[in-house]
Amino acid sequence: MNWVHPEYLDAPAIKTLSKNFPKGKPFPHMVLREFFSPAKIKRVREELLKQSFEFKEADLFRFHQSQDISTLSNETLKEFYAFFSSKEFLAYISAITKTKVNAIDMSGFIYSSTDHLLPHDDRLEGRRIAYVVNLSQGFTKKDGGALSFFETKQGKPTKIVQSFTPTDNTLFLFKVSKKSFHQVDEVLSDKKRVTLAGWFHG
Amino acid sequence: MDSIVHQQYALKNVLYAAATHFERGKSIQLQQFLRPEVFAQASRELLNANVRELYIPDRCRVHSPKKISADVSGLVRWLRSKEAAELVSLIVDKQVRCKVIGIFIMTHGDYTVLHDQNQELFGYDVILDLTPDWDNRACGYHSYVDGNGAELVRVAPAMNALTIVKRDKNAMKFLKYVNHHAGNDKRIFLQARFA
Repeated sequence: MNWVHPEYLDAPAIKTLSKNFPKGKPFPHMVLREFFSPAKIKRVREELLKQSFEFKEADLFRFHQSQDISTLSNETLKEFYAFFSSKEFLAYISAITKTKVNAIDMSGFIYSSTDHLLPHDDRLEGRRIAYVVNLSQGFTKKDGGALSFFETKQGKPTKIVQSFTPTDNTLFLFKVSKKSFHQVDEVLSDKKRVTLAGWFHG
Repeated sequence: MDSIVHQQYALKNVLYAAATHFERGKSIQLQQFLRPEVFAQASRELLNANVRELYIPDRCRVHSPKKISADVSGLVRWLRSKEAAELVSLIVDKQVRCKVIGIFIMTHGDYTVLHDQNQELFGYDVILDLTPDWDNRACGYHSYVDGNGAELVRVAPAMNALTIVKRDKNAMKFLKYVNHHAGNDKRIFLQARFA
């Protein structure tokens, strides 16, 4: 667990996180800033940006996506993937979210100017917790690219009630449910929104 | 028809050529469709219209005018007319008439997504584009896709064009998110379904 900042790992911290996660509004979530070792995550970002990304566009989205990280040969990314999918880290995520998880998938994403991901709930068989490892640098509100959460009424998303501007070295976690409607706001500047994202399965 | 549609579309040989093109591609765009003064007037009025927003986050965000002027009403009446039915029928080689019409004013942030309840019955989409000016980087195009998501037809905004697209049972449609390149510009169109 030497990838994770020690302040997130002691027993009181885990207890606090697990207490707060279900209280997240509009659905259970948490934002863990400065979560990873700064030197290690910096290497991950650098190596990720050396990979090839494929342009993807459909009704819901427009962005560039890497291959499945588990299939890459890059040593730093393999090491990060091994840590993120380790039994120890899965047990940690299970503990802080009080949700049993046992596997992950992971891809890299780059959102450039005009890229976006429109509202959806992420629900698919086996997905328990969605995650975003945000590696974006220098974003402010006016750059767009925020991860935004919707309030739901009678199972339908109605309005955005929480928005998180991309920040480097931040882990977002949220519970996948019929309420977990979210979007990635359009990137409005020439900055790159860089993330590793996927789901913890259970 | 004489007072609304450009005179070239009264010529039978032009319409027969359009029908041949449509038969091959299942879609066609008729450029400079309205008389210039009719286009300019309707476009200007819709550009300045007060709009209402329909926002259902997981389906769409679109705008439409709260009220329509006499000139825009004239276009709606024309789409419902016998003349329009004859023109479209000749091009698609099937007797059809207008069933539904909507007026849309798309601005930055608007979109529709593929959704079972967004899909109309099959037939022919007729899009009368009243967009005065548009940066194509802003997207806002119509995309028709098959069941696997592969694009069949893309209708980019085109000033004063009438586009006809055949809707097969498996073809679904969405309007691509209008991004910040739109600035304050608006994509304006009347959309009808003929069947």
